Amino acid sequence: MKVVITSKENNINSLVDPRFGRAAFFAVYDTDTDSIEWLGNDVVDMQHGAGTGAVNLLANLGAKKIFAVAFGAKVKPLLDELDIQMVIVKENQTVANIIALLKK
Amino acid sequence: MVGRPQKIRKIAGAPSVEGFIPKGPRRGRQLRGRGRFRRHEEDIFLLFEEYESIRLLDYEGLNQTAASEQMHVSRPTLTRIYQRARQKVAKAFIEGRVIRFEGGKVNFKAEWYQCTDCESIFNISEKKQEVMEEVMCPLCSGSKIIVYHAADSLMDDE
Ligand SMILES: [Zn+2]
Repeated sequence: MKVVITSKENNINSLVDPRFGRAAFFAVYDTDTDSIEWLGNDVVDMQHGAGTGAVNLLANLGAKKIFAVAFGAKVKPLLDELDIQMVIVKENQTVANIIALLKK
Repeated sequence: MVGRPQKIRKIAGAPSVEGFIPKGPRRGRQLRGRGRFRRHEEDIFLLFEEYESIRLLDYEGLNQTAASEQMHVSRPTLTRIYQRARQKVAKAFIEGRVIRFEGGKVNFKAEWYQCTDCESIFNISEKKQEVMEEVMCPLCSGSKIIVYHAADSLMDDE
């Protein structure tokens, strides 16, 4: 299953990015293969625009859950529609930390 | 708000509307807005579980034992919930007050939970709730899950 973690940088020791729509990077983590694909929000922005555009892109990649510190009110109905789960995690933790919890 | 972890009460379906407004102006009080559903301190807030108790007992006609099983609460708890529900509805009816189903707009589509192990907060869509046996944390797979009530405050406008 593919899940998405918002990230400040494109490495797993980076902190989780607080805002979903304006996250610098999205770490697309595949729980089956234990692999990560990094998506820069500049690419996302250019193609789709912030927030709702990011949702569409991540949905196309097959993401089922999104881990972020906060979500915008506008993306909520869209995520519901696409059946993507929102998980609000504590701030000040790394992407690696989230992945470690997912493997538990 | 910190409180005793609340057991998850299963609610089959969210109310189809946000609430009810009494018809006509109330004596001694100015009609506010133009039939707008604006929050007012005198409004009666009916919790989802209270709504559900009325739905199961009065609308579906279940007895209290069957209803308590459906809601995953003990019978005395259900009785308390139902009593509160009826008191609130009676008060709104007699005093001509607005009834508002509590939970906020967000909760009508999805309910929010919190994992007491990793403290993450997550939603579960109605579709998923129908097929799920028990709620598990999507992050740490923990099973100590409580209902999270203040999810609206987490949503900011981007
Ligand atoms: Zn957890």
